[in-house]
Amino acid sequence: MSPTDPQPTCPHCGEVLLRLTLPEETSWGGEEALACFNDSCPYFVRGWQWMESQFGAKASYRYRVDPASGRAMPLAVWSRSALRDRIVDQGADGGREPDIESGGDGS
Amino acid sequence: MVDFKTVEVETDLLILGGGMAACGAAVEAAYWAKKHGLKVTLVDKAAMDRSGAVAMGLSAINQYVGLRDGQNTVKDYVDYVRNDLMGITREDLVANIARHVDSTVHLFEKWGLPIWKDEQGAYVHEGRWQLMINGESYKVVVAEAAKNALGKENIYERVFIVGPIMDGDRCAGAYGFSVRENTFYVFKAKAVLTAMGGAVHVFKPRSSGEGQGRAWYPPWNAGASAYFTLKSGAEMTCQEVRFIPVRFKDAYGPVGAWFLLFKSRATNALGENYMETRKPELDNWAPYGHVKPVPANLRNYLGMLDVMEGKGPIYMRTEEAIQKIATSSGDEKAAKKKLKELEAEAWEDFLDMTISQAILWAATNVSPDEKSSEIAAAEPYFIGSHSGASGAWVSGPEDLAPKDYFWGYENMSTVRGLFCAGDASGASSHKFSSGSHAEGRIAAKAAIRFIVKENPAAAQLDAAKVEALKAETYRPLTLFDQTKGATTQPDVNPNYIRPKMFQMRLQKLMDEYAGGVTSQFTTSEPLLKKGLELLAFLKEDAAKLGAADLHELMRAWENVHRMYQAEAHVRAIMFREETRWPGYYFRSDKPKMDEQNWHCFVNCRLNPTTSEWEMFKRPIIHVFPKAGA
Repeated sequence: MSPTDPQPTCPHCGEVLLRLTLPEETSWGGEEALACFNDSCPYFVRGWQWMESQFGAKASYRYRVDPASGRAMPLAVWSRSALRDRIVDQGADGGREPDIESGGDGS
Repeated sequence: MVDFKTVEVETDLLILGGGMAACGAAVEAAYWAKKHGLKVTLVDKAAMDRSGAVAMGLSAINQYVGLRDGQNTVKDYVDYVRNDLMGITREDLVANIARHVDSTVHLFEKWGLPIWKDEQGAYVHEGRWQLMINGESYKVVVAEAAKNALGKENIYERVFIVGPIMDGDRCAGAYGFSVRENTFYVFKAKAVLTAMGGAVHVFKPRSSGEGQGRAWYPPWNAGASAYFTLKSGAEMTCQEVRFIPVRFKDAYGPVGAWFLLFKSRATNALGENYMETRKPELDNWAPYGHVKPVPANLRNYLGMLDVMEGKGPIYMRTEEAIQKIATSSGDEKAAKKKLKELEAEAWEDFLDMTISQAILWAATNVSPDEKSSEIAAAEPYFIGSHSGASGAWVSGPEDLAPKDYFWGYENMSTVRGLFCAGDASGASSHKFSSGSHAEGRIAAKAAIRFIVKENPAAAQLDAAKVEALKAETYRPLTLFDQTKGATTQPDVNPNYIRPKMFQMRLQKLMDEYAGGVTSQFTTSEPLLKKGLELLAFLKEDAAKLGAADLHELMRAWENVHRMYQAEAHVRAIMFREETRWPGYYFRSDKPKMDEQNWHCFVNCRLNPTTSEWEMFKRPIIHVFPKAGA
């Protein structure tokens, strides 16, 4: 995707990326990013098992893009709700709440 | 009195230290030395597998620029460091490390360090510059590569370096003693690379008695680099720029993961978040108060203002963060499962890095999902590789450094043949573990080039000089042995002072007069002058240190090293007539930042002939244009 695309989308699931500010206390220091918050995104879903099998970590990652450069990198998350409170742009789906399913994140 | 044998070792490059910078130096030096038939020797006072600041492990690599993927540029990193240090940084040195650090991280991965990656091989970030790792054995992996490169026969572990050996104006070696055997060492070299870490426990720590010695920043870093470079006559820089981290109180557990991963808030006793309520204060520290991310010392300062106003304790709301995540997980069963996972993550975050925090939680029945934990500003550290900046003034690289910052070989101090890396080199903050390793590599390559080009002659040390150094080194043992019978309480004797007692005196005077914890990090010229007066008495007392055994002898010399770091620090704070890093120290008599007169380095030198201190300014020369700050 290009940083100038009017509605940048996730290459893994096609959902519109949402704009968020990354935590002030980190070295991102409130920087903006675009990320896929679709809990059914195959990249995010597969991530849970990948991280557990490769690194023993109960975490996954969201597809994230730097809006200035267009560069993508995985953004670590420990839960489906992580970073949702930092979304500033509600996007087409209104920044919906995480899917609530029994079994919780990734399992 | 025991008879100590003397061992003389001749080498080409002598690497002092066994931490990240020294390990980087080892692998790089071994490569270039082999090409030129040179010998490299490394000396560590501990054992390399677990020595230095990364001993316990880490959960993240804190400097990775991502140049090959175009994530960031070298200038981006320079801007970040310059802003965080309120304008005081050597841009050429920071840039030099930033352009090489990625290759160091790739080496770590090649050597077996598990760095988190997604299914496509992209590194998983914790922050803009931070990568997540499974790092309990980080140091072991890095040390193994260094040991393999050098060869066991070239490594001396458990040997404590006391000070430099000079040949005229050139650093030609070092002397020290085994902390296990009755052996005095003289290392003679054509060039010396010092990477013996920074210093902690110069100030009275929050954790006292049995609680003292919490690792993070490690208590075994006692100022050996600073002492070595000062005693050699090298110019030093940024000796006023200490670092104060905000950590979980008393056990120094890191707070970063809680802010980022658990989305935790820090609130005062009234439930207020000082980062929000105190935000207007940042205007007083413009332009740096307006940059993002907010400089570490200013973040500290906002919290300190709450504490000084009596609004403490400050709590990390771990229970709130965990409960919030867990309850969004679905039904009760899912929430319970998530809760257990999060609780395990919270513990593991500490177990990977600061075991003491996990122990403190266990000892005080803290369940992070049920109870908040207090956070507090820790006592000052001297850690030029982190968010401090103290260290030796070193040459930059020829292609980046302005002419005032270059004198022949990158990372060489103002003393010929003495190279510095990691916490030993100053004004190049935010290197952390990976950057220190990269800087070690840079310094080592330059040192080998120095040896090949300059081909200095080996130092000539006569036997009398060696005997004098040996006598000075073992004096505390001799004194204790000769006079211990004078009293029945070995800690109380008019003839000597034990290292522990000496350390307490040092820590008390620094705490009370040089802006320690109990002074709320505040000082002034009258207080600093009093501190210097007491340091002068302490220096006299240093001649009467007594040690019962080799381990205590090491402690004696460590505290002498700390004392010199302390004096450099006090003099530099006094010389800089402003407050620039209010969250590190605050001068009540000079409470504002003065960009007009003090946008400069404060440098100093201890004249080895006269023992007089020389304090002076050096200009900050911008290599990169400033980005809007």
